Amino acid sequence: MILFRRFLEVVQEHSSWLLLVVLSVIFTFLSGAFLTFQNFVNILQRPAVIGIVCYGFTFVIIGKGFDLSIASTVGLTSFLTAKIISMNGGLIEAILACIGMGMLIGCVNGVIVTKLRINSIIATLGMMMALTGIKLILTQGHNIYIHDVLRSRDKVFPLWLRFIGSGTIGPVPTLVVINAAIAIICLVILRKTRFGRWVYLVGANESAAFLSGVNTKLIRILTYVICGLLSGLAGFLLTAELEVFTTRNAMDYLMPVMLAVVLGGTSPLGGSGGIICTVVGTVIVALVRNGLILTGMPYYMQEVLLGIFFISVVGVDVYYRRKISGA
Amino acid sequence: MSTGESSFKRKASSESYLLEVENVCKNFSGIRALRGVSFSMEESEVIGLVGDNGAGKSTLMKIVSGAYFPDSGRISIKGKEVKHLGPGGVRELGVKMVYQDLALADILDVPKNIFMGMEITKFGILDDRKMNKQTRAILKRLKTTIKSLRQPVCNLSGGQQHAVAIGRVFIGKAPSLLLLDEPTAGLGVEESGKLLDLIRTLREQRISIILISHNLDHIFQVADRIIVLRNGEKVGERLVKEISRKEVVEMMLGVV
Repeated sequence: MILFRRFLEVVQEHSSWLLLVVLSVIFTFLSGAFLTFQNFVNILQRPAVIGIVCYGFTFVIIGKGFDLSIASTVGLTSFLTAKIISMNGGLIEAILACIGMGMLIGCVNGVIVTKLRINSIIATLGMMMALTGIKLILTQGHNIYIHDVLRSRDKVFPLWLRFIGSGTIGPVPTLVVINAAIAIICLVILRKTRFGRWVYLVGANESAAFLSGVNTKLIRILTYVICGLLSGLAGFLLTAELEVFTTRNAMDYLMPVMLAVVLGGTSPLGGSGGIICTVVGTVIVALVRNGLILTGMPYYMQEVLLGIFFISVVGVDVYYRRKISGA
Repeated sequence: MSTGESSFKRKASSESYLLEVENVCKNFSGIRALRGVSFSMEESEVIGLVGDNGAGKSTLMKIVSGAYFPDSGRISIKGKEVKHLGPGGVRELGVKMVYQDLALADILDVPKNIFMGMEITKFGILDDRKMNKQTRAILKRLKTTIKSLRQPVCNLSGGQQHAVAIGRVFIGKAPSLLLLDEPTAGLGVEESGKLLDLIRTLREQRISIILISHNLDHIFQVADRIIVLRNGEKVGERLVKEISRKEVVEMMLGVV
């Protein structure tokens, strides 16, 4: 029985890596175009912006929380960015507005969940609906075609925005570099700071953390603030990437984020996982999509396959956790 | 040497007890868990806190440790009132508690659990190497072997988990007062013996201990004084050498 426990432990700990390797091998065999540098760039480029939201989401999940409002935060800040740019605003203003808005949203989420003691799914669902409504009021359902607006004022599309959204640093797209930089910062925070350690503690056993003197409410609020901050930043980067704001921006930014974070091994039961796990998860999702396209599989196969992986990973995790608390 | 007797004499108001509990009351949605409990404590004392289930022992200790706030009454540690200090604040004053359920984070490893809330940092970054080293030293001091520190504590045996929970006591400043809630529950004979030895050693190091236990044998082996709670009230406080087990049980059950 102990042996089985150890086996489960190893599988649970490394399931994401195993999945990644297995998938890579399969796709290499299925398609000659898979194992090329250009393809790797493609794989990493697609999730570059959404990956940043995933990092923020990781903080919340480790703390055993949940945030359904991330997509609407990205959408709102994407709109803000487009608005600011088309009104000839600068880089600093746009970024500060997005980060500020994101942090505010995160703060409200955090306070509602911790002080009002409302379940995080319900609270952030409410926030999501509120933000969607706010966005509707602000946009009036219209899109912002930045190029057109600027041209009508005889202004040029800002070079720095073009560089961020579509430029490259060496052979690597700027967005991928930004993603990597944020990933490293988040990794250091989670693994090497006291705050990061406390996020894990709060997620693993909140009452034990409280009894050890950790301000659990504050830690949880901060995870939501970080998630909001990164979602806000992602909204800015999204507009930079797409160079327009449409009401469909960030439409698909909730389910894939949850998918990537959980597939990567960060358990929704809190206290485990991390940024590297999330990177692996994001790459797995991008890999599956890329690989299935290369091998000519129909689109729905991606969803089916990812759904199966999701259920398996969550299943193993829940089973493992149950074994722990049972034994 | 009877430390027990002298602690019954009220001190002059300029001096302060290590711990003074005055008329503490606590309700939980209409259930009166504590109804005006008072006692005081000095250095190098071991008090055994006994009572039947639901008597209020754990509640009282959790109020002293800062986990709960009393509805009324005063708790003072070395003269300082601890009205609204949380667990962290009370720990700063030198009071540490080991809880009945051990308060461990099951999926995290040994050093993370031992240093919970008291992590060591170097220039703002966690000093894992130092924490691992101190963890090994503490386990050695408790005469417990754990082969790999990196495994989740849920993999450890009951005795090893107890060692981790107790090991927390040795992190940071030495405590002045230790609260142990059923520390021998679930431990075998040898491990219980080790724990009682530890209590005696700590007492020699001028650390006071309040011990909650259902095991009167253990209490009678290490305690100087015994306090009996029943239905949230203190129904007896005697020196251990002046009372028999039978009398203690009678007080616990209310058979007079």
